[in-house]
Amino acid sequence: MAKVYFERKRIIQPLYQRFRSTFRGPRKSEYENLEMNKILIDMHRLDGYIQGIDEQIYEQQRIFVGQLDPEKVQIHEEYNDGKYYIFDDVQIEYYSDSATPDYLEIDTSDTIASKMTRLSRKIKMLEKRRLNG
Amino acid sequence: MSEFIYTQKRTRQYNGPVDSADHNERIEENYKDLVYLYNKYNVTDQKLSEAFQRVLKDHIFINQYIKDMDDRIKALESNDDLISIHSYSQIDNSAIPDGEFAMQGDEVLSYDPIYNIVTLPKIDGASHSKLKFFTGTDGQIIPNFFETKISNTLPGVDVQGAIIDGTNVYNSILDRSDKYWKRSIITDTTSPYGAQMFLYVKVPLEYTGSKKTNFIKLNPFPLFGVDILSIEYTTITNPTMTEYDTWYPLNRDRLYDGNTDAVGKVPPGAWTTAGSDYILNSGPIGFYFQDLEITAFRIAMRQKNYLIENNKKVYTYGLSDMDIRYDKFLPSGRMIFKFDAPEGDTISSITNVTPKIYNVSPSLLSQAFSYRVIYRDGSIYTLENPGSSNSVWIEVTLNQLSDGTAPVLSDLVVNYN
Repeated sequence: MAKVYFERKRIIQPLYQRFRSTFRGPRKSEYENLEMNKILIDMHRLDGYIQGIDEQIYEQQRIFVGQLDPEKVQIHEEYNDGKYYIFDDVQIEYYSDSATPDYLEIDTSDTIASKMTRLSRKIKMLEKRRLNG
Repeated sequence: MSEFIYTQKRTRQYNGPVDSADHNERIEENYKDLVYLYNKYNVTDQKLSEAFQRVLKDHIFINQYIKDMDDRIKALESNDDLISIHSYSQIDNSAIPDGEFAMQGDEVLSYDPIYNIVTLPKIDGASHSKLKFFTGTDGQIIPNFFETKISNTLPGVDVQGAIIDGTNVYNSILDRSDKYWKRSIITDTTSPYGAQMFLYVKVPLEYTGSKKTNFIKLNPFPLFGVDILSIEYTTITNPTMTEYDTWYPLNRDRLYDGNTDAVGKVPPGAWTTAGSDYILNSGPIGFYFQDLEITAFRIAMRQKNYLIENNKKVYTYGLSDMDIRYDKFLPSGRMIFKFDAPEGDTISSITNVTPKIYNVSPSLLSQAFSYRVIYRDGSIYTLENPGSSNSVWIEVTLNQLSDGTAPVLSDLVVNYN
């Protein structure tokens, strides 16, 4: 089952902790090393998150541009009287006067363009017929 | 990165007693920076999700609207006792599993819903791209023999010395949605010609199996924003990719010259009246043609519109996808389309079926295309008209021409009573 959109929205905080040091006599390396480890972990986490966003942008853009992964289209769940759809973590409640479709059809730019081209040709054909009586 | 950074550079020089205040200050600054960066990540993640939701919902309802437009056009057609292909869901090959109309898998016509192409059954194993190459380990690669050239000698703002911002042309052959070729001309002035250029693309012979080419497809960027003025080819060995090569229009036989219905369905730049076959505000286009030993293509593109950014006029054009292929076909194939009568209406008889095929000369259409109207009488599928039907099935047969051309059916207009 797809993840619910809001599950993922956790605020991510640093692991890094501040240990105040007082240098008197011999210095202890323990806290400094722990601090260094945590700051390194934080840096790697941030790097990972930023890369994750980069990938997320690509994945989400892919839904609208180019070829669509068909299995993502058909995710749907029964919900109260109607249906709701969870599409790549985004929950969409969808009601219409007619029967709610079993799946949502998400077009990419290319398929929208293709449909528009087809419609435009048909309009042109009808216009020409009208013009010629 | 953040607009400001707390962490300051502090050079250490331990030589004698040390002061922890400086060390603690650095720790504090590091912590603030990390908190700032984490917050920034959280905000960015949230913004991205919100933007995604907005676009997703917009797309869903745009799709609904297109469907509504489709329904309205169907209604208009029904006023004229017409029905046509509106969706490839009308392909109904499995409707008749037995008997003379039953189809074998390999004889089914192939179709491409992006380019609105129905053509002969494709033999995938013998078909190949001339530009797109994939390896098992690296995925798609840009071959070192991929060669393009842009010539901006046409009138307009895209001229020598113009300020250009853009990406490399090879992005147009990469099958990644975040890769596309764009060329933006940044200028203070405008021109009635807009921005125009020739794109030259060499058709490599290396590793492509066959010297023959029979298909080109282009997805202009921005969609419906770019005019395709001409598509030409050369067959000379080692083309220089300049105007000095001998260039022929891809629609060399001037098919459907002057027929406005054919604009966008024949390669532009060939008709007698110059400019009458330009594809204005082009969507995705793909053309099948006879087998030719092409060594390079030349495509003229134009962007007439500009956007204003930072008080400069920006003309942007390019391609989000491009391919040049040789596709091998079976010599003949069939497909069955289902046509439903408009709501509240029935079909008494089919008076005419007109194929929309623009890559075959009208004189050869009868060789390339034939059809049969199939009715359902109870549970029996028959060629005999039972008198009144809610649906009819039209079996289309396409045949390859002697020069190798695979006919492309882009629509089927059915007149009925």
